[in-house]
Amino acid sequence: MKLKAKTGDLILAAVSVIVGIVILVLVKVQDLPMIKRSMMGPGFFPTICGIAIIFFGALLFVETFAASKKAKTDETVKAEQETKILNPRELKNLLCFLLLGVFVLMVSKYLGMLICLCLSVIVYLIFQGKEKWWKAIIVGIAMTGILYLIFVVFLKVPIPKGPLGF
Amino acid sequence: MNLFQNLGLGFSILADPMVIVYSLVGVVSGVIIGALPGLGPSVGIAVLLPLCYGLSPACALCMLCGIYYGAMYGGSITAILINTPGDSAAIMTTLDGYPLARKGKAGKALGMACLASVIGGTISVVLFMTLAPVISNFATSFGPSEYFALMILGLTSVAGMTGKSPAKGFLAAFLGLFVAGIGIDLVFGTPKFVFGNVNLYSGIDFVPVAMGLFGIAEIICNFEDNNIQVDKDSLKLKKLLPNKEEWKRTIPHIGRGTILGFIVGMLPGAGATIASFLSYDMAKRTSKNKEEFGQGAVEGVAAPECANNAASMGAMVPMLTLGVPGSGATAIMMGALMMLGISPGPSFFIKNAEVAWGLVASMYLGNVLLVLLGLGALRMFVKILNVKTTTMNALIFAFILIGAYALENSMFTVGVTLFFGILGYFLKKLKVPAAPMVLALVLGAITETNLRQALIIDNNNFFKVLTHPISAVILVIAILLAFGTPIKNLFAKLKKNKAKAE
Repeated sequence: MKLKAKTGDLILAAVSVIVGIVILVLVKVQDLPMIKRSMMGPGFFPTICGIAIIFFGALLFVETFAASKKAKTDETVKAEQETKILNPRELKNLLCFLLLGVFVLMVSKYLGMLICLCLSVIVYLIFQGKEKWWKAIIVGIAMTGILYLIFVVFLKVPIPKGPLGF
Repeated sequence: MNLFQNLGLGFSILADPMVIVYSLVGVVSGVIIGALPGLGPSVGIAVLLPLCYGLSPACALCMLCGIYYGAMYGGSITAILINTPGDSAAIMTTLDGYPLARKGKAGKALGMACLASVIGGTISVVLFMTLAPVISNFATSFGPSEYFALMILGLTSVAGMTGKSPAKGFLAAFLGLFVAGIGIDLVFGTPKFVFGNVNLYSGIDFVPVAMGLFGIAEIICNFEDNNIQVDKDSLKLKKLLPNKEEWKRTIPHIGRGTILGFIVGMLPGAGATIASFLSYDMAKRTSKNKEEFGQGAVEGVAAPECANNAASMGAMVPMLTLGVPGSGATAIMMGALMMLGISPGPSFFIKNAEVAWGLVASMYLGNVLLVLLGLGALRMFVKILNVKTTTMNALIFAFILIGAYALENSMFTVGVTLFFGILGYFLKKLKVPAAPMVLALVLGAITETNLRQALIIDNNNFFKVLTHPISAVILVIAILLAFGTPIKNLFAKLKKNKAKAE
């Protein structure tokens, strides 16, 4: 993805304004008044947050446009604005962590959390770490053993167990 | 009780071997995480927070502090050996540390970094234990309105954490404040933004958010291997210790850097990075060997290293005595304390004297451990740092997920961690700082409660809440912190325009 810093800032500003508006709408829809029984109501802080998020989002728009104007004469600002902010390798890493995280989230109650984490580590090491499969399995099992000792044996966390009993 | 009796009380806590074990675990993990490029003390504390569950406050606090100052030193290892600072506070160490390593004096630079960190840390513990109770005593007279003003000061300190665009910092802070407000309203019992999800009724805890924003977001971007190659002989103890001449050259800079670092660390939003920059600059200006700076001067390693450790101690002062964390790392530590049922603030040294003085004693212990590990186990750290980054990432990822689950024994917190991890990655790419968000999340509920109490006391007169003498002073400082730089820039621009017109 060839997203430039300037475009990124404009998207951030637009999203911020939308988020702020959504917060204010939700305050209204959920009936959260700013003042209730002549006291500070449950809507006081969310309203302030909503307004502030819109304000700073708008300010970011102004800042970005001002920087664009400056970029016409200033090479450093121009270079900053033209910088590509997303790296394909990072995005691949992000997708990998996201998929593995969702896998742990959805499958832990059937397979057990430790088994899911072990599988995730193995898959990550094979696909992202480019490790040999046997090496990835050894590392995955060793890591799971460490996590088992720390969280189950030592901290006594009742993690979701699978058919193998852990 | 006088200072020595209090300190005696603190050291009596160290008699518990578990406190020493946790301190050791903290320092070792701190050094390793701090040394991994991109992962600083905030990440270290956030990732290892789950280990605090079920621990006594003394053990948990000792471990967290160990991580904090371990990470401060750890950052210098890769800064010196491969010219890649482990975190921003170690940037200045690369300037002279790496040239020293290239001259075959890697051991000398690492030894100096370790000893300067320890000396800086130890002197600042003395400063901490003398200053903190005094500030606490002064602040015991504070009421809700003063506390509210303090929280605002803490939140506006984000202006110092934001880099080029304060708007992005404030945006993150208000998003954090909004997230802090999710859940049941404590006074009216009204559900806020829960959408019928029972998991949201108790609100969103700061721990999974911090683990996501600092932990997952960082490992997504972290995949360069370290590949440290260092001559084993240069890491022998004899070669690590500075000689008489080097001590003579560096001691004055360590003294000055420590005091400067401690003061800068106490300022909200300033932090260890600025402290190390200033200390390096001061050392360069005052040194008799100015020409050696940048080429491999030992003073150039000692000055920033003592300052960043001193700053980390200094940052504890406002956090523990006023309940105002000035940095991302101290915000996470404050949240961890609250998780353990301890409220940092003026009464911390009175209500939790044992924990407070135990913490002071543990800081001494931490420094002893740091010097022992820094000099004795350097080879082990170098070996660990050569483990492939993807392997480290996988371990951290698995640790974060199981740690997030352990927080409430619920998969919901795992989901929250993942969500904030992905959000954190995009925020990082857009240069939106994560620290203000976590800071606001930690301070959000306290700010709201104090404002409510202050309004009740002052008959719902908002103006009266703001004009209590101490509150007013604190709020003026907060406004200056928030808008000082833009106002200064505006005046400079006006002055420039006027000069041009003339």
